[in-house]
Amino acid sequence: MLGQVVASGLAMGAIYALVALGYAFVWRTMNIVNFAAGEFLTFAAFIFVATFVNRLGLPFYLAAIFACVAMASLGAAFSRIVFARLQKERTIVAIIATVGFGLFLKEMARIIYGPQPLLNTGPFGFETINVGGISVTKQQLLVFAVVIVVMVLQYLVLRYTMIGKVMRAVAQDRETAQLMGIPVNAVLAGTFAYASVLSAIGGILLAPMFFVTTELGTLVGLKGFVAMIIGGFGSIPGAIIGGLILGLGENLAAFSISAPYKDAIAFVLLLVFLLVRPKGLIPEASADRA
Amino acid sequence: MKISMRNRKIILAAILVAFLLPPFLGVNGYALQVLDMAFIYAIAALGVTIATGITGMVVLGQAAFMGLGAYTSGLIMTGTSLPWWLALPIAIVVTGLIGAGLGLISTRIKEHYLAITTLGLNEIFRLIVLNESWLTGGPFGLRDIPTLQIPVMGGGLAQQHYIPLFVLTVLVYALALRIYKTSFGRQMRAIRDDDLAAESMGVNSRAVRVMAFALCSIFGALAGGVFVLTFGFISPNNFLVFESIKMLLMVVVGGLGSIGGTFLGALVVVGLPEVLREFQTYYLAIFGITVVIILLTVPRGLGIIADWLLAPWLPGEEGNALAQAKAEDMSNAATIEEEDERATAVAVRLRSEREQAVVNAPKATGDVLLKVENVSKSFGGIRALKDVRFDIRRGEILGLIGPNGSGKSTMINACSGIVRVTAGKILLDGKVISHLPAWDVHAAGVSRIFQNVRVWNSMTVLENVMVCHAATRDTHVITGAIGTAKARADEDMAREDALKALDLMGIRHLANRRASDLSFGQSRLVELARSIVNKPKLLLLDEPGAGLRGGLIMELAEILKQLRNQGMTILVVEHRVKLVVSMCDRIVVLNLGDKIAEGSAQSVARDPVVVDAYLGGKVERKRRLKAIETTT
Repeated sequence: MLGQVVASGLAMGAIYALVALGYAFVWRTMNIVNFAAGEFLTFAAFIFVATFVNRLGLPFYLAAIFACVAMASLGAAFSRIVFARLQKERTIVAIIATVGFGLFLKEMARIIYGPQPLLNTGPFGFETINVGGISVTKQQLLVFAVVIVVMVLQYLVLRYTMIGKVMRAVAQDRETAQLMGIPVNAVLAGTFAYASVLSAIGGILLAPMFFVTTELGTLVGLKGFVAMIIGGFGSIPGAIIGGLILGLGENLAAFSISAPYKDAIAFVLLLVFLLVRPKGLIPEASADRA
Repeated sequence: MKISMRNRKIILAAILVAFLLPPFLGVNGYALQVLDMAFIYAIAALGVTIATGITGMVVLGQAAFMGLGAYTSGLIMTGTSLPWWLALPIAIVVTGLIGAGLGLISTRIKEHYLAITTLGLNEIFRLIVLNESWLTGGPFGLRDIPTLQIPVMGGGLAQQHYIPLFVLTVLVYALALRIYKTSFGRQMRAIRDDDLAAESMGVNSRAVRVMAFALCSIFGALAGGVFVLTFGFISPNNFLVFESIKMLLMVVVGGLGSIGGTFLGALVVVGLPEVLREFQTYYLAIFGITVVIILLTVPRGLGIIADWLLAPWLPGEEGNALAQAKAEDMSNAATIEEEDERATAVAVRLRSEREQAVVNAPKATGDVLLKVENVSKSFGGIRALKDVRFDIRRGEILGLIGPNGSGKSTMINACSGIVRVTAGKILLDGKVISHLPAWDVHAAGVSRIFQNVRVWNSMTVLENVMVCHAATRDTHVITGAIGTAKARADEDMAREDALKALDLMGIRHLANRRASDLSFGQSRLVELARSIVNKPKLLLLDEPGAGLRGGLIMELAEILKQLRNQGMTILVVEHRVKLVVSMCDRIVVLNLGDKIAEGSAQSVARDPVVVDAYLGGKVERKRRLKAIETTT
């Protein structure tokens, strides 16, 4: 039993880590937190299930790719139209505006796709396999596989390609990057698009584990943010570790202490971290640059 | 629009009276109920305006405070059968205390952290109410709470409560408007506009934030308690995060920070969906995107209307209207020239005054006012200051110079309490000040201006200066709001001294202008007036001449000399050698965090180590000379 609790906690944690990574990337390049990230996840899950799987009848993996492309375009557009303008504003304005946009996105999902919860069984249904005496659903294994592949690809791209170098340059010093001829606006839009894709992957992976409702992403988005704070604001390894710790801790505490309060655990953990270790587990060196 | 303040009062009174009419015109109970709801939300949203709009702390959990007030008063009435007029105040006090406690946490948590924390607390509140059904009734809520019957008003509950609720709302808004104008209101706005400047100019940001948070929760609790009395039934669904976001919508639609706008925002957010029922499916999506559009295009929202109506009760609205009229009929270039002329005139006047009074000018006495003892400061691996020591003598102007990155600003920040020193200490009049928070350092008599002008943009020039006055430093919310004799006397004194300080800078005519409308040079003078209104013992100036034109530089130099003659001690960081040499009695030179020279302007200028630091030189030579300097 405990093994299953750990496995499902880690699977959930991997999803938090994806969302947290999105926050970290956007924070590093644009210095804004996108409080609508959870709603991006919801919207992606709806597009994926309702449009690409149910309406167009595409197979799981093809539908997933289409949903990611759609969310990337939405993210890039949002970044250019709204987010870029928010950069000049006070932090509080940016926070409220992204909360407002989140409400818009959530309501749009309801208006377009209706209020009924959608079910998608995914490629595996509820099949489980036995790994070392623990029965794990295939969907959970898929989550681990996808998240690991995303992390490795992301590391390789950031480290060894020109795109990665350009992104890191923009993150470190936008003005200089611009003076050196880097198309900064395109890079920012690209970063935001990537963060949206991370949310989208989260939504696609979550869809077969829960019913898809307009509330699907709200808490996941908030907990992803909590995960980033626990790991270290804006830190990339911190986001991954924070996500895994949060998912695991949440499941263990729900299992051993109190299941009804499962959703409160993340926020209690947040309070503890803010009071005891406000910079998180892996503090970002340049966190104070603002 | 040229409608006088008196006429605006009349228009406002007419609107208020119109609001009283519906119950007498036979408006149906449902419509009245919607309006009742709007009034209740208007009270709760006003709390959000105070914390978020005026003080600048994002609160995404106001529904939890509202729920706390509602459940506490509901439980008291059902559990102990105490009457409502006891239950409601108890609920407000309990919630206010919890709010103040959260406010204490909020002083350590800012911006994004505060947003997510308040949101999380709202969620925790929901889970507790949902799961502790032995106390709260769980998902079914609290039923059959005795509602308040006011048969005099006739009709159903909605009609009975309409007028009392409206009167209560008006009273609460009047109270908020009053607080807005007091010293506490100024401090809240100063923190929102620039908290670092507020702290170093004497605003105890911790106390103000805690109070603002407490006020926010009190307004929430009041709204929650009244909700119970009006509807007699509450469930967890009334106080979701979603409701918190809705209140944030009201605040934004009303223009972030506008008190009157919040009321209009509540009317719109609660009322519009009822009026346009066919749009019910779409209105939340529309509101969501409206928030983004308002924030990016018309940030003042409905506050444009409300603030115009309430102008007689808002600080500086009159001056602002005047300024707009003035700006329209004058080209920009003319005002710059005019300003330069005015500055030169002030400079000439000050110089002649000084030359006449030169006989009784106090000389630098030589006893030590500020002692910097072996101060070091590291930022991560970078050591900005290394074991620096020097004294500032009473009555002198000490120049602090050095190449870029030499640690000058860090030194000033350390002296004003913004930056904690890593080692060593700083003493003012023999008392250690380097461990005090910035506002206590200011209270001890150290005042400063910033390298990049940091005025509080949304406030008037006069308010900018009044914030820093000692008489109104302590946060007296209650006496200020009541307007006791002492509070009024303090306020008058602060205003008078502030006007005097503006007079000295020659900018008294700008007193009622909004700081954001000023030119750079004018802002600099406001900052200077702000820093001397408290008659500090020590004035820290971080590049006061940066970005100023000729006339203003002259004025600045004359003002500083005048201040010195009045007995003020000044530490000035400045790049313009001419200004430094003409002004300073002694000079301390920093380079890469080390003090490399100290002495009179002439001796420092000839010091080869200083020349090396500025122009570069051979490494061996530098080392040798340094050795000589330490032995002499």
